[in-house]
Amino acid sequence: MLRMGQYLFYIGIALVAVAVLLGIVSICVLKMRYSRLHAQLKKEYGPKQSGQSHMSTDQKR
Amino acid sequence: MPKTVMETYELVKEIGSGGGGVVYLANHLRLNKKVVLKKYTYTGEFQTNRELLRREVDVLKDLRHAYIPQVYDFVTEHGVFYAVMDYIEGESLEKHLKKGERFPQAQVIHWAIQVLQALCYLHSPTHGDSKRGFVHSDIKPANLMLRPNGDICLIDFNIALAIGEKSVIGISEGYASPEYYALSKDAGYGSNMDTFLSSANQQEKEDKTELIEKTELVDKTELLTPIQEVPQTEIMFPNKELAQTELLPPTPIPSPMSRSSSVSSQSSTSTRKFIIPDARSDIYSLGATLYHLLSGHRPAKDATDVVALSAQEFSPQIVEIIMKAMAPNPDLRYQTAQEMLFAFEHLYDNDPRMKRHRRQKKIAATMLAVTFVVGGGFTVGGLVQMEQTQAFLAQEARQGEAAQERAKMALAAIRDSEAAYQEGDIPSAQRYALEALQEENPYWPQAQKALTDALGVYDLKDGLKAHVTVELPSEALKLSISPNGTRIAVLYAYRIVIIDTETGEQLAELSAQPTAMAGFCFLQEDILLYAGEHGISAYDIAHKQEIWRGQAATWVACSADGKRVAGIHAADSQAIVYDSATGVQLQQISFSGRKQNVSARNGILADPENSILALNGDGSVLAVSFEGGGLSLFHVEDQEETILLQNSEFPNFKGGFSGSYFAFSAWNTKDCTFAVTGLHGESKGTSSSSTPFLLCTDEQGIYLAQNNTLVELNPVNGEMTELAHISNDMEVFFKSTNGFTLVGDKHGHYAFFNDHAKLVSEGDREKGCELMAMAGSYAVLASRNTPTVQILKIKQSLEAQVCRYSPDWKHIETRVSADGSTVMFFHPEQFYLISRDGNLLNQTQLPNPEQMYDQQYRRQDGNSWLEVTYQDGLQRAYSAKDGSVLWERQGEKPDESLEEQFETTRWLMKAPLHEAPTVYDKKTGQAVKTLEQDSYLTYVTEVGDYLVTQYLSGQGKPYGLLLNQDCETLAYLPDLCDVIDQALIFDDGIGNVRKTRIYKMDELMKEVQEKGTGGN
Repeated sequence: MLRMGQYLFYIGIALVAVAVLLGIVSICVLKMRYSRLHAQLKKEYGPKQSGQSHMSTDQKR
Repeated sequence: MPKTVMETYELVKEIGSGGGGVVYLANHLRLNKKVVLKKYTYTGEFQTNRELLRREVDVLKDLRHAYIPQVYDFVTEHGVFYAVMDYIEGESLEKHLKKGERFPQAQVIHWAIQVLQALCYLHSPTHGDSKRGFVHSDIKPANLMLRPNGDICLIDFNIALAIGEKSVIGISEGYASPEYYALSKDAGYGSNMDTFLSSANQQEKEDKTELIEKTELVDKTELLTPIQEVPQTEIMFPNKELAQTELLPPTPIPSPMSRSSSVSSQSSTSTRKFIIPDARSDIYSLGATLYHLLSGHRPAKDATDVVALSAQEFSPQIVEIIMKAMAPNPDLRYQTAQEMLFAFEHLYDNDPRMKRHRRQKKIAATMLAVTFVVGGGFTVGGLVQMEQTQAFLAQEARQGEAAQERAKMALAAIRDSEAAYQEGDIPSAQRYALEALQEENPYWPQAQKALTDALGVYDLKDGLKAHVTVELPSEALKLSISPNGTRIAVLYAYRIVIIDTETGEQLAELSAQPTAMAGFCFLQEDILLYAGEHGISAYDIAHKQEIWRGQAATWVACSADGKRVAGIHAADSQAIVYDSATGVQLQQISFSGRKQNVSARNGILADPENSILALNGDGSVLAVSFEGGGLSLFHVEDQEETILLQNSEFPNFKGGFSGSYFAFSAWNTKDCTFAVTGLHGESKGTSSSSTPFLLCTDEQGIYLAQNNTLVELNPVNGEMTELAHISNDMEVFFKSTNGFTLVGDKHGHYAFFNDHAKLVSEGDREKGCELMAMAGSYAVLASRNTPTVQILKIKQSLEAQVCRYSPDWKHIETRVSADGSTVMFFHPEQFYLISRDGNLLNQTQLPNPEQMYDQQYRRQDGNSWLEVTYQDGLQRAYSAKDGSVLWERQGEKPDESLEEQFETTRWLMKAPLHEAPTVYDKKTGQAVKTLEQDSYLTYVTEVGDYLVTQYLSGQGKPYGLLLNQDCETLAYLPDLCDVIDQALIFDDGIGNVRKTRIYKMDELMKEVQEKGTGGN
């Protein structure tokens, strides 16, 4: 018979493992989704702007 | 077209015409660089303020931006003003639109960002000597050049040359912000504008806006600074052919904060409105431009009529941005180009899908983080709890180990106690038992039993009880006891040790003759006569000093009156008789060369008891046995010798005086003879046997043992009275002066008989008990096989006496009546009823004992009776008061298959006839324990916290066990016969009924502690 502490420990380990696994899966899925979305946004909006304004012609020309 | 301008710029070709001017492509002759010359010419009634134009050009020359053409110079030749600017390669977006090109949203966004970057630059007050910003005010596809590299360039600032005599503001229909149309219709603008617009064809409306007037570019700083006077510009109707942008007169700034409100001038009768274009106007124009670029058609002139872009065709964000930029109310637009640029630059971030993605990511991350944290928490918590549990278990284990250790030690102590008890070392048995009771342990009940056994509190039978044990340095060889039994002397290894029998304390140690045959005896309680190292000696034990010393002697003897002693040395053939008090030699008796029998061995292993040297009661006659089988009596006074045996075949002798008689036995391996003679050797009787006679004499009698029976011989008439009878052949016996007899066999078994030859107690010594003595209340057992000397004490529990009865009464049970007045002893054949003072009240022979099924003694409501049940069901009751028949009735035949049952508070005990009794839990019905295996459970009584179970052993002896409420044995109750009024009743079977109470363990432990290691 397992004691409460062992239950907690194993449940905790299981949760951590699940979290890690799901995390890995989530990262992969989200990355895939992000890539897809980014591609779609890029198609719609063009490349993502860096947010720098051009004050001087020396930099641009 | 002039060829050169200022001899510097070679005009190459006309490339277009803007509002108020012609644009040439030129070549900088010195720099060999392409430039654009914009020639400003205004005809008609427009006049520009040259100085104002100059000032604007000077400002524009300070603009440096990738998406704004740079102005290099402003020249005048022949009254014509030229502005020199960057040559922007490419075509305007308008031209692309006219070609029917549609631009992808991404591209439009890219351009919008570039325009906004240019506007941010333009609007910011960082240009010129006095820092100020500018508003383009004419943003439209036509003014956006698409370079070959895909970037755009914002052109046509309507400067310099655009500055004519009058200042105008351009209106590009669809692109101009609604505040440009805030001019009142009364001013004519609106109606004229409507007329103009309505008259123009749709295409024209889309392509061109009429230039009415060119207006001043409003300095942003001026926007913030109240301008007292603003040159008024009259509104001219548009010249369709010349202008692209419809210009409106500027408006004064009524207040710094109201940048685009139209204010009617009070000072003028005309109803001109003044418009203050600001950054938001540019934003509107840009929004409209983007609208056109995306949708392909110009937005409605009226901002409120603008149809929103399709959110299906374009991204909702883009639609939202553009529509916000094109909000009719300037306050609802982006307030700065920075804001709009921010919106474009953060399309990705603000996209709902991206937001949703981020939200999902956040949610996922949060959930995972929560799961991880929770899991981590559980893990840590579990670990902590496991650690705590481990620590707790470890502690419990340690405690358990400690408890186990304690239990082990307790068990060892119990074993030691039992062993010590068996060996007769009562103080040690008590001490060990007490040790086992010091701390709580699982063997507590056993420890209690060991203590009660060691204390003997429930052993009320008279008898010899183990008292104290003495350990000698080596095996005992001989022993002797004082007349009252308070002292013993033991010979070991040529040393004689004198011991107090009560305490076991060693009182003295004397050097004896270096032989196992060294003799010694007590003259008095505290005076020992012994064959000392230097001669026969008398030693005062109390004063620890030698009283007198005689000549060397091996054997010694003393008269019964203690007045004379005799000593013989093994090497001598004479005996010397001394006065015991003074040691004065009274007589020297010669043996004519004969010597006492000495073993061929070195004397160590010789049996010192197989020779005779004895003085009679007054010391007047000396009996001596000689080697060679001789035995003689010597009269001390006259040394007259009476030869009893001479040259007999008997090497072994035992004998002594009893009054006027001398008894002896002589034996060899085949024969034995016994004889009694007078003091002069006259024969009184003889007997022969093949087995040796054991003989002992004292002044009270002659005691003879053969095989397993000891008798007392009456020398007068030869009658024998049995004193003791045991199972095995006797090896040794001792008759005390107080009537008790102690016998032992060669197996170490000893038995103690009372003066009626009734066995009182018995015991066993593993190492044997061939050395034995008894006097007063003490007996001592020893063996040549062990250095342990056991001292026993006669115990009589007279204070516990209930009553006495005849030991001849045959009975198997004894009961006390409910009122305690009578005691009944019953047996299937009869019963005896006596009063407490021992008077026989009734003796009844029970009829048909062979038909008897059961006898039960009943006590109820103060009455007591004996209920007898027969096999046929007949029942008869006999009164415990007087033994009379109370009643008789015929009942059902008893069922022999029925088992007896006894109930207590917790338990139900079932006692089948031929099986061990079983204890059942009354609550659960479960069997919890089996009681005594080989005995018959007769009764169970609950007394307070205890249970008293009564049994009949297989040999028919009654006994009891004191149990705790868990049915664990706490004490052995020998001879228990009844329990009444919380008292235990014992019947020793030889005439004594006694009682005691149940002792609590605390008081027993206290008793032992108070006594120290003392005995009973």
